[in-house]
Amino acid sequence: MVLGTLYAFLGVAIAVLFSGIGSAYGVSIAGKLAAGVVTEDPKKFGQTLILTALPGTQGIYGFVIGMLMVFKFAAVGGPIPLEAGIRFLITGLPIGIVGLFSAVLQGKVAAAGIGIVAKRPEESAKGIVYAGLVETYAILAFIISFFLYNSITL
Amino acid sequence: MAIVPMKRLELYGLKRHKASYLAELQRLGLVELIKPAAEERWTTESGEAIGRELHHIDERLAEINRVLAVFERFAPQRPSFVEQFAGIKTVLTWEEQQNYLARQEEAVSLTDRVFNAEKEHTWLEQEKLRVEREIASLQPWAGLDLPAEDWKGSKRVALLLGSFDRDPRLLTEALASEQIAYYFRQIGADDHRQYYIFFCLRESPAEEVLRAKGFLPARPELTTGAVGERLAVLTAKKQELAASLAQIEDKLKTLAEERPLFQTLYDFWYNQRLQVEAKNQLLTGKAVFGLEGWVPAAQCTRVEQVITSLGLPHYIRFIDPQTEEEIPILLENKKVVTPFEKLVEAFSLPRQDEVDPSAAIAPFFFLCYGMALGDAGYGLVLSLICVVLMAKLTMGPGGRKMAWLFFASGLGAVFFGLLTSSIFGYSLYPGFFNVIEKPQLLLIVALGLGLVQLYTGTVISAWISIKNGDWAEAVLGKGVWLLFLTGLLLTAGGSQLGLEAYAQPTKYVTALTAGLLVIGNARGKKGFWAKLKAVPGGLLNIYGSVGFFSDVLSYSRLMALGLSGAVMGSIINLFAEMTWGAPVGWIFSIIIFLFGHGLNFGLNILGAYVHSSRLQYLEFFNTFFTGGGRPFAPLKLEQINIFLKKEREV
Repeated sequence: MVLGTLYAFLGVAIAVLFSGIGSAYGVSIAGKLAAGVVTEDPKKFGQTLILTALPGTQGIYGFVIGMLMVFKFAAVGGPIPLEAGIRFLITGLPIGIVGLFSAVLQGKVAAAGIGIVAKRPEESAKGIVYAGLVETYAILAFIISFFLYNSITL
Repeated sequence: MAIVPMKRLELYGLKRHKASYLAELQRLGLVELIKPAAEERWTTESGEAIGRELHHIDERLAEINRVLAVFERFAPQRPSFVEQFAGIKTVLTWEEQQNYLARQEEAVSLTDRVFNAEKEHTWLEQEKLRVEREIASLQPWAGLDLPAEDWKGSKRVALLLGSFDRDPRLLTEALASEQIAYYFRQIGADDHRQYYIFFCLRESPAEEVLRAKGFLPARPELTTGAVGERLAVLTAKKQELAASLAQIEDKLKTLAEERPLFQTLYDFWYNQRLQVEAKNQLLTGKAVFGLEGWVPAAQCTRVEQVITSLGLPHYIRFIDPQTEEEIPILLENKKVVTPFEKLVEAFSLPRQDEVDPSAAIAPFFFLCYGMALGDAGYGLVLSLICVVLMAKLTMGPGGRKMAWLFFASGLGAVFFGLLTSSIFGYSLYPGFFNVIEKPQLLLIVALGLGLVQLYTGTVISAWISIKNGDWAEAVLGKGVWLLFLTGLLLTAGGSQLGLEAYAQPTKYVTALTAGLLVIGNARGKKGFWAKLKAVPGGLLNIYGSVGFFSDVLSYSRLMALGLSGAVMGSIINLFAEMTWGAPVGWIFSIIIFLFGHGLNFGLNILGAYVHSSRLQYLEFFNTFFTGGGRPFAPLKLEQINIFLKKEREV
């Protein structure tokens, strides 16, 4: 296999792997707490579900970037030149790494937000906004990853 | 944008009519009572009387709650999927509610019947448990057909009853080695032990020998008759008990059909409690009481009419609030804007000296949500869900506002999706531009929207200054600030817009406005030194433009959300198309399409809501709004368990 293709594959893997791991971990942090709240008060399922789902978006962003990259080099078919391969690799980095950390940390904030749902359900919208703040940085990373991807020509 | 103006109500009447006035005010639901200051409380009515009344009501509430708990135990309500989110409420018409309230007396006897039935149920259950325990203890002895009277044995032969947990040969060998004559039979067994009967001569030391080997002498707990007979009696009794239990459960289930009656009564007493609690907020003298409260100014005449129509002696007046008083906040807007009040309420209500930002938020939230969701198909589904929910569910005003908010937001997505030709990820016609093909343009649109919104915010803040009479701040502060920002933008991006010819003048104007900003900061400062000291602060103002533009950049999230949703949608469509060709692939294709778009839809409506509201709260509110108002909380009829289909005209 040509080294360029190898790097390109690695780029896809980084984008999907790390953001996915982060999201899974983040959702699990919030989910565990949500399950606890629901055992006490099953009516709060809806509100806790929203907070639990929030750290899941990083995984989606990573997946979208990964998928776009796959489409791009699948369209060409042939081996990928080394420089383009390294570009793919670098493209995967922002959303992969920022996605990993922001998802885990967002999971923690979402878990704290679930505490709001448990104790003061009328204020739960504020918990959602707090968790949303963390996501900003994953979004910025996604935008950069996307424009890096957009600048690669094969 | 409007905060409802309030007036202060003062009402005086005879003390003995107090309850009638309170009941009427509660029914109206337009007056928030003001707790009198401590030094004003020339009250003669002891708190004790109110306490006693409250205690009485609490007892009633506790009793009704117990009845409802019994109903819930024997005839649990099963919430539907939607009700899991929204909670279960019993819907009644006003007539039905009145009918239930008329049955107060009957409810007392019903309560007794429910409690008696529950008591009987508990007793029967215990009895059944006791019988079952006895059956369990007799079961291993079932094979013993010798009646209890004969267990003492005959003159020469003794009976040994007991259990052993190992091979019985250990016992028989021991007896044989001691040369004791014996006969034995296994009677039964449970999980761990076998049960035996031994016949031996009375003078032989059989019992000691058996004991030494680990045989445990025991007898069934029975004084007359055979074990089998007793078991038959017990089994019959158990069946009888089970039948009566089922009967009582049926009875309770039938009684549970009266649940709405008790729910109505619960709400009735709950509201009664609020009314009694309100007495604490009255001024009471020997014969007269006084009451103060906030009333929306537009409702004053209605309150006066209703109070007058009671036909009781009274004195009522409405006065304008003093400036230092904290007035409760109620928002009122045009119908289109009303749903967006929900967003303001979720953040914080405006203080009385602020403006209600609902109307300013409405168009921007609509556009932000539309961009972030960005698909006409998703938007349509969201709006339809809201319509169906509103038609099927009975919702309180809060829930209804929320549903309308999402209905409007869904339409925003329909609007933007049609512009960019995106329907469930498909582009059926050449739209304005394609999101995936021209992401740069999408980014520019997002940032442009941000710029427009933040400019609007600054203009609003200038308008507030003007309203407060601070023209200098509006012109020199906000006006120059906007000019400066525009200047910066044109200096940086003017060449893109074909304004190279004006590059020099733009620079000068920008520099001039920057200077004005610095000087503007010194405005109002007395003395040369104070003015000089204000200069660094003015420079900081210029630095504030960095904050402004980073706020604008924050709107890039709309592009990211719209783009990731669109790419995700097209990936799902691609997968669905790929499976279509295979044999029976169409089934998988449909499943992939529905499941994929369902997931993408769920995550995107959530993300769009979170980020669109964040843009309002952090970026937009930053320009003119702080909040911190206290919501208007009138004395009114609360609906805890029941929900009235149509409010009676009051």
